[in-house]
Amino acid sequence: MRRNARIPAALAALLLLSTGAGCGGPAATPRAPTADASAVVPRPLNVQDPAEVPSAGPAPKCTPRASLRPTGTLPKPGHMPAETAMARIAQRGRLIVGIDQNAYLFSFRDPDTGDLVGFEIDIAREMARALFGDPKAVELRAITTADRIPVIQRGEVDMVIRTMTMTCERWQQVSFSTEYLASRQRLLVRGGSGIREFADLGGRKVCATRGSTSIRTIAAQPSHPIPVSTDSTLDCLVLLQQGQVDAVSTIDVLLAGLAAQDPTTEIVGSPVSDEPAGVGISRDSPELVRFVNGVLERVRTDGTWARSYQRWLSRLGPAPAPPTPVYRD
Amino acid sequence: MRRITTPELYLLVTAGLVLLGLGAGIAGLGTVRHRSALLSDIAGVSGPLSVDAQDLYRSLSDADATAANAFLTNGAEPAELRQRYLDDIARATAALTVALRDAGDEDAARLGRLADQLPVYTGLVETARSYNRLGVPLGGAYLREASALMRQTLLPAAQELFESAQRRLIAAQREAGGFPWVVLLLGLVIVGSLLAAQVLVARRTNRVFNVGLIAASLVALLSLAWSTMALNIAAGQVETGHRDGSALVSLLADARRAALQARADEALTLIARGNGAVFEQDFGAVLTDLIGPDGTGGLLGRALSQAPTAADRAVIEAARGHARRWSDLHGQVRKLDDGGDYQKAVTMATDTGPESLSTVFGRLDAAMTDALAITNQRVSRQAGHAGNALGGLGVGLVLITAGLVTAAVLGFRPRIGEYR
Repeated sequence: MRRNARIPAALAALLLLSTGAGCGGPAATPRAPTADASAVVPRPLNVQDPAEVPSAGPAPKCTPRASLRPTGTLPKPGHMPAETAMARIAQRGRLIVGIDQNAYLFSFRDPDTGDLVGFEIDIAREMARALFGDPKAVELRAITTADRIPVIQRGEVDMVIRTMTMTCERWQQVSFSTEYLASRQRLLVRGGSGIREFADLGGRKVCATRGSTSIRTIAAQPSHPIPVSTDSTLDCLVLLQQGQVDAVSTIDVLLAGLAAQDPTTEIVGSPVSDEPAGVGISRDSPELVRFVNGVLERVRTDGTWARSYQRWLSRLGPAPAPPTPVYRD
Repeated sequence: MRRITTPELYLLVTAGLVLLGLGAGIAGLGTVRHRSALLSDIAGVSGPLSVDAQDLYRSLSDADATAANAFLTNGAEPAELRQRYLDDIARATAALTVALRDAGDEDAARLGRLADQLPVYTGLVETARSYNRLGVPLGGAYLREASALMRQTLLPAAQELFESAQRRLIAAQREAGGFPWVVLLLGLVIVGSLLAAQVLVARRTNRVFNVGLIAASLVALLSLAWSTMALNIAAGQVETGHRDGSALVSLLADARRAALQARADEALTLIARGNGAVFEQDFGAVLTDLIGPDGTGGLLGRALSQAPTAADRAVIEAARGHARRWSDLHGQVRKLDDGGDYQKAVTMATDTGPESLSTVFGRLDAAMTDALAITNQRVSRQAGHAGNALGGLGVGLVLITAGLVTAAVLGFRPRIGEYR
């Protein structure tokens, strides 16, 4: 009988196993700590911090502002001389211009219409008017600062109108028209930051676009600020607003466009460079350079330049006289 | 050494049979319990976690594409796009919350990353909207920052979560789907031992049949047949759940992800305005992944050939039709833009009419969602069927083991008693 008594006990153990009552739940885990959670700071695409600063290439001494003299009077729209870059553009039916689409007041998208507008877009449309008699016969192609020279060299655009500083080094790679806007490099800072000059920015972050002359100028400052680069000057304003940089430094006219979008920022500092802006054109098309200079002559003298300046850039102050063209021949 | 006496031998054999019976019972029960646990994990945890991860990815990716399209639209932001974006965010948050309940440590870390960054993302989108209303380009810069955060951080985390859930699901299916060899072998050993015991008793006594041992043998055979069959049927169901369910889910989820990515690429190409070659190349590559170079292959083609029922095939076929139509419309948009007619290209890309590009994409998205819903249901339904096949087997095994042991003991007791 004793043996029989063992069987129900084993059965009871089996039943317990089958129903799972024998298993205890997992030991209570401690609550995950929440104190070490910290804010995440997002970044625009393609930010370099600190920026790689390309060393200036060797360049012979030159007069950066000096371009090619226009020949005689402009050809009539639709009647471009054969075998020229202008004739090839006319053949295509539209002019292709590399522009910025994020430079407020210069070249930006009007959210109401989706059209690109601004001071530089006006110049691009004047070029199309001179070629076709139609200011709309232009395809505006957005490019980054760093792409300005490559797209001209690869022939993807006919010209670049994108606050491109004329330098002797760049003259080695592309040609420029005469100067269409004068500017100087300054600083944009948050109001009340106490920063007045580059001297206040030692060891602090200063933003400019990759491939610009501005980024080199920042790196060359004796106070040793840390250069940070982005694809677009506008991304620098985002970084400034988010407290990720202490200043933006580029030409004063672009800074005015940034300051106009955020009234809590201010433009400060004495100018640290002289930056003439010209239309970038392929070195292989001197006839197009002369043509563009001819159009710019007309735009300067017939009041178009002043009207456009007044419309877009009046916050920079009363319209100055247009830059005086300088020719090398 | 003295010879072992017959009652001692009987005692040893009885003890051996009892131990063997109990051992086999416990082993069988262990197998059944383990498989049931795997099945309830499939139906109750890893299956739903996979669905949550799919929802999360779709909602986030769609929010990104919708915000980009709203930005492209001229003038006031269209109310339906705003609503779609808000719904996407609400769905993403819901999926995130529900997924956290089921997630293991690693998945919880991924979900934590998503939970940290999602409010940052929505903050950037709202900042972008405010600046857009002011008519300044700063809005576009914030939107690009938001999109970079989405594409580089949020979407990869959601994708990892889905892959981890699928891995866990498929591992559980594989483990629950094998043939129950251990149970079969143990059962055969028991039946063999019972037969050997009967031969032994028959030789030592003149009784050919021992009722207890015969009863025990019958019970052992019954239990062997029942458990092997039930476990095997369950394994078959799980195998179906894997082949027609989870494997197809992976394929369809890849397809939907490709479609969503291409949709965002399309808007980003236009937003980049002539500088979007990278996005357009990505669009081409992703669309080829989706429907193949000639519109009949790719992920959807493979899904179609793997789809087990006519209902699946109809939905996937419809999705493929929408994808082809979208590809045509996209070609027209690109032709307009590449030909210099940017504004017309944007108008065509953002139009919301009945046969517009947005509407066709919406249909593709809906068809993919339907196909995934059908397939996800199959995964949990098959796990449910498999669970039913095992139903009662646990308790049955206990009772059978009890019967077997009792019968063996009762069979030997009178024989041992004869020697007292």
